[in-house]
Amino acid sequence: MADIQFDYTSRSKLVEVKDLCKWFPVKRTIADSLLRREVRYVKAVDHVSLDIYQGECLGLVGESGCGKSTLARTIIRLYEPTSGEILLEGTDIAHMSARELRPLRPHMQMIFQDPYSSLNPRMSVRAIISELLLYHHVVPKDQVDQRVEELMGMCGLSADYAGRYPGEFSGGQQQRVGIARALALNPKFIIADEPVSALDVSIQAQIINLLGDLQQKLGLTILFISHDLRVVRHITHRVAVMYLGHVMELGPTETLFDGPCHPYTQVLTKAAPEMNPLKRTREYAIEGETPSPIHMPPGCRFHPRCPYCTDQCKAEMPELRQIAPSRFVACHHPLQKGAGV
Amino acid sequence: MKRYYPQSEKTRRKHLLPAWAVTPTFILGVVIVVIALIMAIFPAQIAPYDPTVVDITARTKAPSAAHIFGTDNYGRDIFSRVVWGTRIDLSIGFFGVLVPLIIGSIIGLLAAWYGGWLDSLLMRISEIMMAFPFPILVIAIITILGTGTINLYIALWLVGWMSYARLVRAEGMTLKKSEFIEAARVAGFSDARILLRHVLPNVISSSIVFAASDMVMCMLTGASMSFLGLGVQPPTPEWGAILNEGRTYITYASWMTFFPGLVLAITGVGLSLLGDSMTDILRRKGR
Repeated sequence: MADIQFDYTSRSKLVEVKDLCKWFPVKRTIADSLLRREVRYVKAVDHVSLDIYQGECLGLVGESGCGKSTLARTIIRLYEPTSGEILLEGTDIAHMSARELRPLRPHMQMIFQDPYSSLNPRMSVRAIISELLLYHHVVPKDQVDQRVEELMGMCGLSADYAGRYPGEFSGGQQQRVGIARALALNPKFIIADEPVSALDVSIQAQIINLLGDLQQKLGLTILFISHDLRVVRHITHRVAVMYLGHVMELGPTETLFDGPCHPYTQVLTKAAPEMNPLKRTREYAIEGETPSPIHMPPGCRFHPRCPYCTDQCKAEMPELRQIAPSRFVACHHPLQKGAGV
Repeated sequence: MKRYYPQSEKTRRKHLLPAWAVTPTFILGVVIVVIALIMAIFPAQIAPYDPTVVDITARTKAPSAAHIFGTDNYGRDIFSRVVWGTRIDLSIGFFGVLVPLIIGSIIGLLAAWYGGWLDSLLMRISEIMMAFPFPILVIAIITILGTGTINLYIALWLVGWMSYARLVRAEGMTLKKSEFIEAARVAGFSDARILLRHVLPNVISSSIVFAASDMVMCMLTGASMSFLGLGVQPPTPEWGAILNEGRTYITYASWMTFFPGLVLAITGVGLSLLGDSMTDILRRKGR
């Protein structure tokens, strides 16, 4: 968990994302094609590079629509990337066909946001999990039932519930089924796409703790997506901050939250409501709207809203660069307080 | 307050048909359809006479104890002919819907899943075919293929699939984006497996309900075609064909057309009632 210092020097990289882009073409009208207007794109993920180390829990934060989910779905190859590389233990899976991907699928699994819609309403829990076990021959046929019950137990579900259908569970239980399903194939890497944002706060804590425990016990590597900074701070080792399809800052959770180097991270952390009402302030309230991902601002994509914006920021796009051990930031003028950490 | 008792899988199966679903409409529908099914399955036990044996001495007899529906111009027992006809008419209704249900569902699934030009092509074909009224299209196809029972089936199959394709496609499009389908893709399942095991069971229910009401339509179309002499040919006892034979005698032997017509109408109503109740049950269960 977050309080344990994570030693990156001794860890190998499980997933390496290199210069990954996922652009969605904007639907053109007949007039557009007749006038030969250029095809425009929504640049949901734009030149993202990211390493995910064996056994770590990497948080991915950012406001709605910044491309967190698209990045996750591209890494797990629900989408075909526009360009770039995705290395899973050194193998590039970015442009593999469905057939080539099939044997690699068990290594990466996903936990979804909406626990109800992520389970087939017509299949019992047993059917959902055993289908995976049988399809990928994870365990011999006669041990499937036993394994299903074992997985349910690991996720805090009674084996008596195996015959039930998703509609008969509460949201928290449904998410436990979702986690059990994700674990069924013994994955190395799990993407959790806002796994608790659809749940009540009391249930959120249970699911977060379950994920944390499972990660330690099974040595899982998790990419944890959330817009809830408290949750991210609690469970992750490192955090990547995304804004308009680009990673703005990357660093160990505690130091990043305590001393943000990027102005956007600063705004984001200050925007999280403070528990003590006397400490609440409007000082860092962000101005303006997020620009459209179709018409990206030139230069740094945060410059129209940045309080420290200079002429350089308006013209030149900053690259993600290392400013301190294990701290990366994409800013021309990183905040000094953070850089000193 | 209602207390919640955990149930085992077996006890829950009983609640497939909740008490509120058993309405008078539903009961009447079931009774009519069950009687029709019994007539279709055991015509030999129910019909007192051979439906095709000619008896010149008993020509155009009015209904009596011996012939409850009367006899026709060849002295054949109308009741026996109607009973034997049930099998043919219900088969037309059932198989005339079953095959389009299967073909239409496959087309709808493919259109929804693969989208793009395949979707456009399949949907344009279905729109072109839907532009023509159902019976006109059936008549046109039979005219090309020639009359007869087999050709009647082929005509019904060719024109029936569009509604199913569109129903399945529409639901498949929304379902395609749901997270459990994404989960199935993350699991690496083949397209065929995802479509048949995960998408189909979740989109088929509205098609099945539609099929129940479509059966009436299909059965009536089959009878209409046979009445026009395009479908089942005499002397095979089919309700539409029987009606056609009795048509010339309607002024002085009205029983020749009245009883087969009545049975046809009642069966149609029965199937409709059953279909309506099924729609209600499905709607209230919220799938």
